[in-house]
This record gives sequence, structure tokens and C-alpha cells, in this order.
Amino acid sequence: MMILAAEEIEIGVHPTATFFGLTFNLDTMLATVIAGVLVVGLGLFVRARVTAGVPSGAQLFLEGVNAQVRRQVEDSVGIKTAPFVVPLAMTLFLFILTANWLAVLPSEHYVPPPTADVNLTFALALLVIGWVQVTGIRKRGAGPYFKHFAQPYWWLLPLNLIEELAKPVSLALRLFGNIFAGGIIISLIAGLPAYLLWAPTATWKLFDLFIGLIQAFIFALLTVLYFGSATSEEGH
Amino acid sequence: MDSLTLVVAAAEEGEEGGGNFLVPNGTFLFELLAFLLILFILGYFVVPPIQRAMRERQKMVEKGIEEAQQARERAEAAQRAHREELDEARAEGAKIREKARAEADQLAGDKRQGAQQQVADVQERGEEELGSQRARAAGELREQVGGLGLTLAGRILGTTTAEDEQLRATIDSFLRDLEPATENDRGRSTPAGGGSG
Repeated sequence: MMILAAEEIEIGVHPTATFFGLTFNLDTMLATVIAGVLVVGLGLFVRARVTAGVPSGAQLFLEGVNAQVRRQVEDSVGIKTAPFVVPLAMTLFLFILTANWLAVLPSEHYVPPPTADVNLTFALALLVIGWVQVTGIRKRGAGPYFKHFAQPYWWLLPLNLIEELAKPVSLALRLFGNIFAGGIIISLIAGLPAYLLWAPTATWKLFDLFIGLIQAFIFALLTVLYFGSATSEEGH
Repeated sequence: MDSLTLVVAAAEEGEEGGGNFLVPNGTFLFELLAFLLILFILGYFVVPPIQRAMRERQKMVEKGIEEAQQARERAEAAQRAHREELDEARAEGAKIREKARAEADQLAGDKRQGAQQQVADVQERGEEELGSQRARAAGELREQVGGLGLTLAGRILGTTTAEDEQLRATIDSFLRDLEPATENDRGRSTPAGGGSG
């Protein structure tokens, strides 16, 4: 019984398909589509009924996220310096939050949270870091931007480079690790006898909601902060 | 325990199958494109209208606050003007009362003065009349005294009319000479004399 329950849950194993010599994780893609449809659906739903008068609950939620992200961007980057960071950080937050919260559904087999797959987290992290580097070069010029890696002392260059490389890796693996660990915990709990199973499962899934929120928030916040440090004159 | 071994086994299995689950595969491209699509939709169709709505609401709220403030200022100004007008009216009323009292006083004074003047005039006129009556009486008296004196002298002396004329002139001149010197005495004595005459 225990073995059967454990065997049903396959962590890190995805049903795959191969196109053009590339392997695709079908369950991650399905979950991504679901999360994306939810986020876009919420956005378009709010857009259709957007009002400057009394906002609906959904509009209020998006407005709250927008205001929070705007304040953060204004504080660390400056809205005028990089206004595109607001929709980027907002989309990151909403999409990652929705993806993380898919873990609450009892459907781990078919739609695992896509953020528990490094493909999604690396895609987002590399997109963000690449964008940050481009923005830094654009705002400060290529020369000053690359020179600041050798500041304040030339021999700090390796450390600065490692720090820069660590950014996307840590950004991607932090999110992946937290959500993936949630799945592992569920699979461990699944080893319990059925009459005990529900209590830790319910408790853990509630806690997973919290972790999902925190991780989405951290990803979006770090994105804003990376943009801030790349565009600031004094460097870091 | 079984689950953990499963995780490790899965990782190994994945490696055998062409990749570790910590190494991205083709799904990476799908995820990137999917996120860019979501970002595009939210960034172009959702975030701007929300921000516009928030700005408009903020403007509306600011306008409301401003209007409320203006209304309050207007109300305060109106109240102040009302109070000022009331004070002014009160002051004016007091002034008018004061003026009326002053006018009444003035009028009373004038009337009193006029009455006094009138009294004085009447008195003066009376005195004047009295004086002229006295003068007339004195003149008549003198005339009569002169006549009497002539008659007496004629009776005593038995003179003629022609002589009378001469005598009369003499008496008159005597009386005239007498007049300035005895005017004051006569003034006092004449009424008595007039009364007796």
C-alpha cells in the first residue's frame, strides 16, 4: 500500500515528447498553459470592465499589485529610468504566483506546478538577467557598464563576474527548489496511511500557498532590484 | 524513504533518458515564448488601462478634495461677509441713533433758542412800543404843558393872541432847553405826571 502510493508520484520525471531533436516536458507545458490562461484571463477580464470609479475585486487586486510594484520600481530604479520594469515585474509575480498555486490542486500527476521545472525558472531568470544587462549597457554605455565589473579594484573582477553569473542561477534555482521541495514533501506525506494522510496534506498545502506567494514576491522583487543595481550610477 | 529513493532514481533515470531534470531541455524555449506572450498581453492590454484608471481615480479624488476645500472656503467667506455686514449694520444703526439724538438735541436747542429769541423780540418790541408811547405821551404832555402854561400866563397876564404866539415860543424854547438836562428825571416822573395830567 505504501509502496504503491509512493510509486504513483514521480518526482522530476516528466512525460516527454520530442520535436526537432528537442525534448519537451508535456506536463510542464500543459501546466504553463493553464497558469498562463488564468493570468491572461484575469487580466482581460479586468480590462473589459476596467473603471476609474469603484473597482471590482479583481481590478482592486491588480491595482494593488500594480501600485506595490510601481512603488518598488520607483524606489530602486526610478519609473522614468525603466518604466517597462513595472509590467515585467507585475507579470512575473502574477504568473509565478498562479503557477505556484497550481500545487494546491490534487493533480500532481497531470499538472505539477510548472515552477517545479527548471525549464520555466531558467527561462524566466535568463530573460530577466539578459534584459537587466541590456538595460545597464543602454543606460550607462557599454564602456562604463563593463568597466564597473572591475571596480572598485581590478582584482575584484572575478568576484564581480561570479556575482553576476550567480544572479540568474540563484534566481532560477531558488524558485525551482522551493516549489520542487513542496512536491517532495507531498510525496513523502503520501507514504502515510490513508486515514492519517489528510491532516498533514491539508496543512502542508496551506503552507505551500504561503511559500508560493513568498517565492513569487521574491522573484519579482529581485528582478526590480537587479534592474536598480544595473542602472544606478554608483554601481555596487 | 521510498519517495526519496524515487527522486534520486528519477534523476538517474532522466540522465539515462537524455538529460538530468536539473538541466533544461527543449521545454525551456516553450516556457520563454509562453512567458513573453503573457508579458506582451499583460504589458500592452492590461497594465496600461489599469494604470490609466488609477490615475483617473486619483485625479477624481484630488478634484473632489479640492472642490470640498473650495466649498468650505466659500462658506467661510460668506459667513465672514455676513458677520461683517451684521456688524456694519449694527454700527450704522448706532450711528443713526446717535445722529437722530444729536439732531433732536439740536432741534430742541434751536427751538428753545428761537423761543428765547422770540421772547426777547417780543420784550424788545414791547419796550420799544412802550418807549415810543412814552415819547409820544411826553410830547403830548409837553404840548399840553406848553398850552397850559400859555393859558395860565395869559390868564395871569391878560395878554393878546399876538402876544400869545410870542409867549408860546418862549415857553417852548424854555421847555426844550429843559429837556436834555432833565430827561432822566422826567423819564421817571413822566408816568406819574402823565397819570396826574
